[in-house]
Amino acid sequence: MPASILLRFRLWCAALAVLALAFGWQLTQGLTLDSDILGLLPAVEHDAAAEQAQSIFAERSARRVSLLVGAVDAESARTGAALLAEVLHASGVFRVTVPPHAGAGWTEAARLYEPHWPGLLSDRHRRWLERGETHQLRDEALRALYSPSGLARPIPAADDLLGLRSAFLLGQAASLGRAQPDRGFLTVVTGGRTWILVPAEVLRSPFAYRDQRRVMEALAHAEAVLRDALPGAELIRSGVVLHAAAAASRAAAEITLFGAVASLVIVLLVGFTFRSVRPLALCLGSLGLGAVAGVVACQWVFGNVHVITLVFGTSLIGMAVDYSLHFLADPLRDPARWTPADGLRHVGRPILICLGASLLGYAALLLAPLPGVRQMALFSIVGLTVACGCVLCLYPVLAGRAPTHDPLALRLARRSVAGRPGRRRPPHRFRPGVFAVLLAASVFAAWGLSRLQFVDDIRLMQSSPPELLAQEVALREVLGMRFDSRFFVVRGDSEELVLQREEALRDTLDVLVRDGQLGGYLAVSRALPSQRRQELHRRLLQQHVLAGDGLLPEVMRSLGVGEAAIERARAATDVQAPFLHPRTWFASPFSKPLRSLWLGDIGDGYATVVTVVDVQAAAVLMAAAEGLEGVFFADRLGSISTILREYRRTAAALIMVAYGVILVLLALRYGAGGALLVLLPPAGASLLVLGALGALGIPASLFNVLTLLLLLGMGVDYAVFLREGRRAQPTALLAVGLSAFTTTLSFGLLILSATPFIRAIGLTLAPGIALAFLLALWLKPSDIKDRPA
Amino acid sequence: MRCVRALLAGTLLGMALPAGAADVFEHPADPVQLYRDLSASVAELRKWPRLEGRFTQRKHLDGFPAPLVSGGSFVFLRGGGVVWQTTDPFHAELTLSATGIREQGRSIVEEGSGAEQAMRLVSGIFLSVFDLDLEVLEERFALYAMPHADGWEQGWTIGLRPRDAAVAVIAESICLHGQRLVERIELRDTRGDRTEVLFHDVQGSPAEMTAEERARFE
Repeated sequence: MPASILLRFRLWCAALAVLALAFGWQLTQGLTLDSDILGLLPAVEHDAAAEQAQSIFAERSARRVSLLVGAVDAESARTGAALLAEVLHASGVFRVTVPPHAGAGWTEAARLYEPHWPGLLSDRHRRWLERGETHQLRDEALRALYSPSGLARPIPAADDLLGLRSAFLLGQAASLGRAQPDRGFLTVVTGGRTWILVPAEVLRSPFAYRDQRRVMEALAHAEAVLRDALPGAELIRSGVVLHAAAAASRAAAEITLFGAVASLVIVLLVGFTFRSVRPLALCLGSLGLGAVAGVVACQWVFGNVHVITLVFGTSLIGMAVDYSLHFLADPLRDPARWTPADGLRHVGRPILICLGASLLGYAALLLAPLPGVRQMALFSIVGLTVACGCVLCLYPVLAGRAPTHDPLALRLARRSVAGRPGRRRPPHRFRPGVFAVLLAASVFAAWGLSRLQFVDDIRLMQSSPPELLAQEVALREVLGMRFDSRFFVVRGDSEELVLQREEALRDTLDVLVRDGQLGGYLAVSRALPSQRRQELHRRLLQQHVLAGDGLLPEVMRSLGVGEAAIERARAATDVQAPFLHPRTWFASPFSKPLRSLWLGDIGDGYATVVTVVDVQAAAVLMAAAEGLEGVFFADRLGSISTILREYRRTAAALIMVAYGVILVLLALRYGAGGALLVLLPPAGASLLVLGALGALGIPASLFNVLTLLLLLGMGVDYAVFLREGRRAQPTALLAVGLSAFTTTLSFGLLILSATPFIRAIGLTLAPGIALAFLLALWLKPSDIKDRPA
Repeated sequence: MRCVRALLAGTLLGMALPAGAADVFEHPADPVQLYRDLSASVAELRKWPRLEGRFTQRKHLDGFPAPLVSGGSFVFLRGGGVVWQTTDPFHAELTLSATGIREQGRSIVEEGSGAEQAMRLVSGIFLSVFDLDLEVLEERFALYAMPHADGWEQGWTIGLRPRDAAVAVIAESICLHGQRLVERIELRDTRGDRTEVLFHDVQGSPAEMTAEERARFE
């Protein structure tokens, strides 16, 4: 055994030991398995602060879980809701008020606002006073005093004759669509049942796999307890964590299935071909080490491993096994005289060229601005490199003797290569039959390409199980409103500036609500006016209401109150009372429902969020944000579609560049003509696959285009191997044939995935690789023995 | 002479003091039992789909020398709502129904606001009181009841205490006094302010709701 081979063996073993240590250390630290599908997507906004505000709020919303407990009679529903809340709280995984309160009562509200009254007015009253329409206020106040319309007053009439304070408080009333506060619970009575809303919050991340499991278990347990106690009760569940958990468990099932099938096929294949345990062990060993290396790299670079990366990673099995098969099949070329050094000399360079081509393909993916694709690329690059390293460094020492039998596959390969000896046959490519087939295929591809449609929908990223979607619809129907995932972010250098800008936004939104373009919105400034607004309110009160000729004395006089009492009432309102400060507002339990909207100090200023309900058209909201400074409309899903389309076009350009670079690199070794022949299989396969998609009416997306880069890498593999293996075509054919088969199978399994973009990858690569193999076969140079001298 | 004066005083006293309003809250009532107790006296009320009459509202506010008095007429249509027409001290017509309180077809407060919810609550309770719908009242109030000294047929007092904060916005306690139907509603709030609504000249009518009237209540 040459010394260089032994040295490489020892060095590689040392490197593997380091890898094992790193993996072990990561395991003890806890591998983070992530299942946030939208986290695979790029940052959409060019403005870093806006992006940060958006992700903080999105993360907060993602923790929310809404549960509706329904029963035929209200008392059971309330008991059920209280019980559910208690069990969930006890599980330690949720934060939920027990029993769920529909917001603090009016006493807390009065206590919060008491010292600040002159600065607080409802929008309606402010507008009347701004326009000088005091008669409206007077008529309303008198009607309230003299008829039943004035019966709903959180502040008694004696303290608030004109109803200004009561109006402000009533404007703060908590409600969620049809849900009304009733005996401390948010209740909806519809369809013959009473539904109680139990709002809960997940304490840990909804996307970390381990925390998800605990959440789902706690929910299932709580539901079981509820059903035991109240057999007729119904439960509707809604929340991001449910979808993420479903996606994660589906991914886990797919990883297991695809990995198992691919491994099984390899075991059978290698077993039948080589009929010995050692090649099998070596194969599985290098695959396993490659996978471990991929996981370690992702955890180290990204800090987590996404489940989708692992689903995609199962395809690595079919690719990495190529290198193993090339090396293990080599002894069959000349069993008697084969030595490991000989093998290395023969297949070493082609293996490295293959690895290089594949790595180039994946490296191009590393440039893609999609974090999810980058992680998949890194996993594959590291995995393939380590697997290849194992083949080149470990196999020569561990491979052992050449097999003594002649595999069936090899016999088949030999027969296909040898023609009748002596007869000079024209190379394949000039045979009229094959040429005709290729012409037909080209026409078909061209026609299909002309029909090809593209789709850039966010739905590419995930599809939720129908039961979960049905629950979302049910929740919407019961509550009578549609929560929207879009929202406004209002930013500013100070809290005061943020509130002022939000008030400007609210003026625009109020117009939209009046016109029916928007169902409603939730904003902090409604409960916490900016200081500027509070000053305005004071001025208006002073001018129109409390002045000597103002509304209050006028009304009191008309009611027969004496001048002394009027003076007392005017003086009682202290216009110099302190302003309501955000700090005070936050400290009150009354601010609880709106607190999640306030983002506070995000590092680059302050921010708050305005959420919207029942949106008719996003374009109108976008336009509303355009004209306002510091306001930004976060429509992540809509922006994603634009991004996907943009990247699709960039990816197409990227592919052209990759072909160019590889062409140059190959020309250095094979000459221009040879390089073109090597590139024809992947190019032809790409066009044929796209054409087939077009012909079948299946729309293509960014992911179909990105995978063409992979196809380039792998397609080049086969052509290179068949070219380099001129001296021993049957073994080269055997190895390449087995490779193509395993790779096609691996990617073919991805077509079974429930995630649409993974399916798209499988749909492009599986037929693509098979076609690339066939084309490479057709275009391979003839056996060196046949060449004319 | 003395006995005439005593009799007069007694009658005046009897009229001035409401029948046990102060201690009705010591007699919690069960709605089913109360329904039975009231059936004899309110049988007639329950027959009529329409009630028409006049009302007087008196609001006693702390610090005000005299109560605020308004008066007018009303029409109550079972299953629809109430049309409340104030004629004194000014003209105004309100429509109270399950959807809220409206004036001239439009809501008196901003649609979708918290105030609208409160209006709907007021309407709903008002209608249940008119109709003596004990089931609905029992959901939002704890019920108390006391008959007149001579029995339920001679009159009764019903006490209502709100069950939760949302309803307590309307009043801390409500008392209903009546005999064949509700004759007087008394609302007290936390500060001690009092609102009284008195009904008089109430007539029942078999005339059903017209389509036009139904549309007003939608």
